[in-house]
Amino acid sequence: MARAVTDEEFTEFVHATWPGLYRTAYLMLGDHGLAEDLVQTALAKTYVSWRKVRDREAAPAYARVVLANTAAAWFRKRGWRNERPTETLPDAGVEHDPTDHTALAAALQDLAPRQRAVVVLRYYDDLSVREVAQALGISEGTVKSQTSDALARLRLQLGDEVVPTTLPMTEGARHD
Amino acid sequence: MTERLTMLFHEEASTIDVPVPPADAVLSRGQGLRRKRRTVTAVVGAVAAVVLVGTTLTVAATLRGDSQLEPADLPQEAAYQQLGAWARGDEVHVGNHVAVVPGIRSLQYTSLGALVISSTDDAAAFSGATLVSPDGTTHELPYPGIAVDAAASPESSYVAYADVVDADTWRLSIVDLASGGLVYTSDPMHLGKFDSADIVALTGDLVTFYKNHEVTSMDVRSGDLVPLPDQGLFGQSGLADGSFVTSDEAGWQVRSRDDGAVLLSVPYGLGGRYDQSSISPDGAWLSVSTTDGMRVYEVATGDFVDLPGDRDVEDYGWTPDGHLLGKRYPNAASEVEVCDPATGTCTGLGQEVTSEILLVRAPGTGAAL
Repeated sequence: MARAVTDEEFTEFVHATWPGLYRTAYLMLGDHGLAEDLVQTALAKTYVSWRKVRDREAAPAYARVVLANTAAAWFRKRGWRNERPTETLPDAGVEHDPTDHTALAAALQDLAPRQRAVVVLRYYDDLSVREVAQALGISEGTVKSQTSDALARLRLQLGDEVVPTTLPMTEGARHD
Repeated sequence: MTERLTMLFHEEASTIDVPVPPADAVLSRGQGLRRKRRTVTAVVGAVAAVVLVGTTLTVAATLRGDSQLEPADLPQEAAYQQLGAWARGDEVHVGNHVAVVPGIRSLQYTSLGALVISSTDDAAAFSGATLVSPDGTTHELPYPGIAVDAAASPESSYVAYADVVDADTWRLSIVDLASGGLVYTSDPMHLGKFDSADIVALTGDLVTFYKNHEVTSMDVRSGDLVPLPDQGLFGQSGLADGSFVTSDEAGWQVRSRDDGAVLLSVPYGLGGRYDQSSISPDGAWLSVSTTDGMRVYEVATGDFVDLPGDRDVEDYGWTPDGHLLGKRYPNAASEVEVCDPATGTCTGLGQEVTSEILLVRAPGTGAAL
């Protein structure tokens, strides 16, 4: 068990981990204000639970899991489900340049919040199915079904070149 | 195969304008949160000490709010069947009773009461399992595997779980909570490169799990594998006793477990792209979101009732006997209610919720609703 963290050490930790956590949060939420609030909340919880961090090197990963867990709690609140950008599925005929990351940003906006979090954690943060399940507090089956659904929707926007149809359900950037 | 997708993610991330870290504000929030938790821990400890004076298991009768629950005259088992279980903070409401389980993460029904998966670690989803009986008594379960991944059914005392042997091997195990005995253990199954041990649901006599990338089921009585029929474009998104739910670009389908035949088809257009559905444990009812609440279909007839007005599928689970259990939004002021899917009549339980509540997940979705 780690010793209690000093304020100076924790401040240093915040500076070191903030950029990475912020990018994950923004990719998940697509809003700067919410991303900043999420990272602040996650780091504050990490401060409280510092004694649970086995060693200093594990602390950034711990904070990332707390961030995802906090986001999952937010998603269960009513406000997150008021977002219904369109009444229909994306038009499969819309042309996008799959080499343009802005196409990905646009496609992410069409995912439900938890689906978006799942694909960000899997394909940006390189977490396994089990790690995503634990981070979001859902079962591995839900991670797989949400991943499958999200990839099917992203494929409609980005094409087979970016999201191949032969993708195994459990594949990620780093495999289980 | 997803290198391109990952590359796009990193390209997009590199363009994000990251603000300066507000280290002082974070530290201040952390210190405030620590003070708050210390206060809460002290209060909970005091309550627990009072409870332990009278009994080691029964906590319900001593807890705040329990006596306010109505209808109090229902027998405990009937109350559990009709009112189900839900959680608020560390409180588990089971039928007419309330118990305390710290760090509640998920709830499931068994025939003996509510199975509670809990963790007091912010970074871990699962670390313990507790059964809360309809009379409010709590029983810690001595099966470590249950705390990792498990599936239960309101009609059975069985709990199926993935017993992880080591990093590469797991066994499907089923324990009977009534006897405490292990009733089934599979041969060790190897975890392939893309595999993970995962129990999806226990419905009727079938336990459903992932094996070799695919969802499959096994009859817990015979041990025979029972492949799931046609899973549609997006795969199964709900499991019930005798049926399951699929979806495609057009809408939802309730299908027979026997042959995949469509028992009910519901088009999208009722609520937009984030349409959600939830099937009752017995497969008799399917709820879907609409633009103004939710609609509940009787699968056998296609008849439906609308539950309008600030109701959403995600905010309603099911009770063991097939009533809807949930709350209206907004979260700021909402009363937990039980709704009859046949008539659309909803009855408040007198429990106002000021923060989110946790409901029993819909079978097969694994989602905390």
